[in-house]
Amino acid sequence: MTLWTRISGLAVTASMLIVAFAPRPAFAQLSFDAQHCPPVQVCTGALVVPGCSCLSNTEVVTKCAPHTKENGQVEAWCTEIIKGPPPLTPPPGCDPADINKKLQSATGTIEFVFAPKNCQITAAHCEALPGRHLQELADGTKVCAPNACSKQCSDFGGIEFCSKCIFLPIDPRKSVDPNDKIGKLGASAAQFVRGDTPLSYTIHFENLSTATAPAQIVVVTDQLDPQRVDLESFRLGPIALGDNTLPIAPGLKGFTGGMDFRPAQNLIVSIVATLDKTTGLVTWRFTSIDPDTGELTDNPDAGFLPPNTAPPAGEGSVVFTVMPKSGLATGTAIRNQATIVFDTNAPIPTPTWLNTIDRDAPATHMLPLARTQSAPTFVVAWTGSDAGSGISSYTVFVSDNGGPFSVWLEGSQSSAAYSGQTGHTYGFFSIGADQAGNVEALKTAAETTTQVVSSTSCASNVSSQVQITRSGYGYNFATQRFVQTVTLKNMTTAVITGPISLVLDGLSITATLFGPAGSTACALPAGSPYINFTGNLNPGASASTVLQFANPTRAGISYATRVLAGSAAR
Amino acid sequence: MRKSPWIALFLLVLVVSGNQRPAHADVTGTVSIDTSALFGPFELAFIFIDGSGTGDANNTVTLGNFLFGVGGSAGGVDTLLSTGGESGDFSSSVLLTDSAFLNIFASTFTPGSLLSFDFGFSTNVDAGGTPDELSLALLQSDGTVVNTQDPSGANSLLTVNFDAVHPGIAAFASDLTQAPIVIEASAAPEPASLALLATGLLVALWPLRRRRDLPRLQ
Repeated sequence: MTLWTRISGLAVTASMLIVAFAPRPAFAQLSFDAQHCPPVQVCTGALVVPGCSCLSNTEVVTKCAPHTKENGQVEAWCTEIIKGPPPLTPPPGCDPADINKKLQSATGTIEFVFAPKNCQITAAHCEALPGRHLQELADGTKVCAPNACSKQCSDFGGIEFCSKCIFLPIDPRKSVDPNDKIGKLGASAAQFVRGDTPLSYTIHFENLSTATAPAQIVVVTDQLDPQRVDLESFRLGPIALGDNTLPIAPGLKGFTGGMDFRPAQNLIVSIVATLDKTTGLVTWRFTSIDPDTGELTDNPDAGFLPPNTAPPAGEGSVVFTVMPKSGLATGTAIRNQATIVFDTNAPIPTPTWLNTIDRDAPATHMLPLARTQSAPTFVVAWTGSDAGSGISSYTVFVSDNGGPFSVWLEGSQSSAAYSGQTGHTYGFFSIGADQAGNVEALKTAAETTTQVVSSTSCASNVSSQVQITRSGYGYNFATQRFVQTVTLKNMTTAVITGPISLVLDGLSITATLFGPAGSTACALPAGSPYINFTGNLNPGASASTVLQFANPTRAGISYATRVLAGSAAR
Repeated sequence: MRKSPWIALFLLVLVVSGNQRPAHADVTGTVSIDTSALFGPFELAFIFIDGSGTGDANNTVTLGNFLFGVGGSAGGVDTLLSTGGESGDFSSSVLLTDSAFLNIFASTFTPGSLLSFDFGFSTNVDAGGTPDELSLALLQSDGTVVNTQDPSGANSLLTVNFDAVHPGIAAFASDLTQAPIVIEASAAPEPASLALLATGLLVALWPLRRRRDLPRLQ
């Protein structure tokens, strides 16, 4: 049901009746009713009028005022005034419509998974859904996973739950009957998490369908480890009882309030949630209150959690989040277990939920490529390691001819074929991400470089067969170019087949060879200018040419020589 | 009549050897250029380029005893064209060092009948395969270079490649002059060497003297 009431001039809506407490019991002593709600919402103390709401908020102002009791005594009634409660979204619930809505619209599911039994979907259903597929996690858990995962945040009662990928349980990891604990899903069996986002836990409890009476008092306790979690970051989350979910305003470490089950059931349940900051013990206490007396009901057939013959009427859950302590080393295990007590029954522990910290990003690198590739398509490979959860994906960047790096591919594979172009030089580097979400820092330089050369053979390097004699540089006043005579002599007894090219490698950057025949692209190093000698060079024969260099700055000219021969590509 | 060429050669050697030589020179000599066909002001440019490209200053060229012949005279140094490791003038001497990649000394002159100057240079060979090179160009009054038969296209009258202990010297004719005449001495002879040379020459000339003593046929 939805109730509208005006509190401190703000219109709020609640999806259920939520009652508030004054410092003292006996709401009957207050002369309010559903049509006459108290002007100032009282959030701690006795039950207030059924039909009136109390909402908590992170910004709470405590005000105390004198109150005259029937016996004439005056005592201070303190209130916590709500300032601007945020608009509350409907609780996620577990009804099929809500599940279907998520499945159709979300690219992921919430990391914090409410997974009562009636929320499960079948494998066939998952496979039939667009954008989703059946996936088995490393620990064997089967989930309905989105085809494309992306970070998505969901607001639950003002608490933001985020995850990079949301899985819907196909085959729940653990039974929720009679209780269960589900924490933050991590990678692998160790449930690796980065530790920079809150750990979220849901504690489920259920009054078995075979029970003979409803539960009247339920106490849930959860011992946090102050050495591994930051108690200051503890936050309460939604509380669910049956079909009803009580959203908790953001930022609360404690809560006092309740739910009014009337008129369906003449019962009010008081809810007190506290955190002992010294010990780290979290306690939720649910008490069935008789509205007529304001006391624990003495009717054995009355209780807020009936036998679960019509799920989810007999189920409940509480939620909280807490941050891991900063500075925990990779590999630090954070275990959490809750205990549930139904009335006078023996405590029932939940399974222990384990998360393991992984703060370290993986280290990846490209495997070296050959300096040249004779085919445009060549295989590029990379590798990496990760100290914690293991590498989940690589992102490989490529630079074409020294241009900016761009993403070539992303994936978990460690090699792939790259299709380039002849004459182009390609540089690659990789970065990795681990399963916990740690991402390696972006790099700025190539880790391996290769050049695609012509698939045909290149001209032969005959430098060792030729004696090269250089004259000194002359200066032509008319052209303002430097000139130099270079003579090649065949020192072998075999003919060197032309055309013969004199290649100038590493020519000074300030100098330019005038009138080159071309620049090398096939016979590496590439980009060196060359001039040609026509014809063959017989044994012992010499051939000379005059090189001209434009050198406007008159800086020194230097270069290394290389001689190529034959008709193949330079 | 026959002995005159030998005597002239001997005297030439003595003259060359006896000339004042630049200090610390490994190779010395004299260059002569017939400038009788030139009219008006011209400019000589000595270009000294460092083969290493670094300006290693490992070689020096000294030029002196500039003579311009009848009607000729020295002009002023062209400070705009001159650059790098250069100093001096035609009136005294000129020093070039390859302390920069490009080193030029240029100066104007009025041509006479014959231009001559002495040279001396060290002969250190640069690393890297390209030697230092000294060249000489003749520029007209408007700055244009006089074309020569230099096959490199640089229009040099003279080139010296410092590619060995005994550098290669080449001279080329221009459109206005014959190729320069270069008389080179690889080293300034010591006095004992001069004596030995003189002795050798005397021995060589001795048969001529005896033949002249024979009775002439009437």
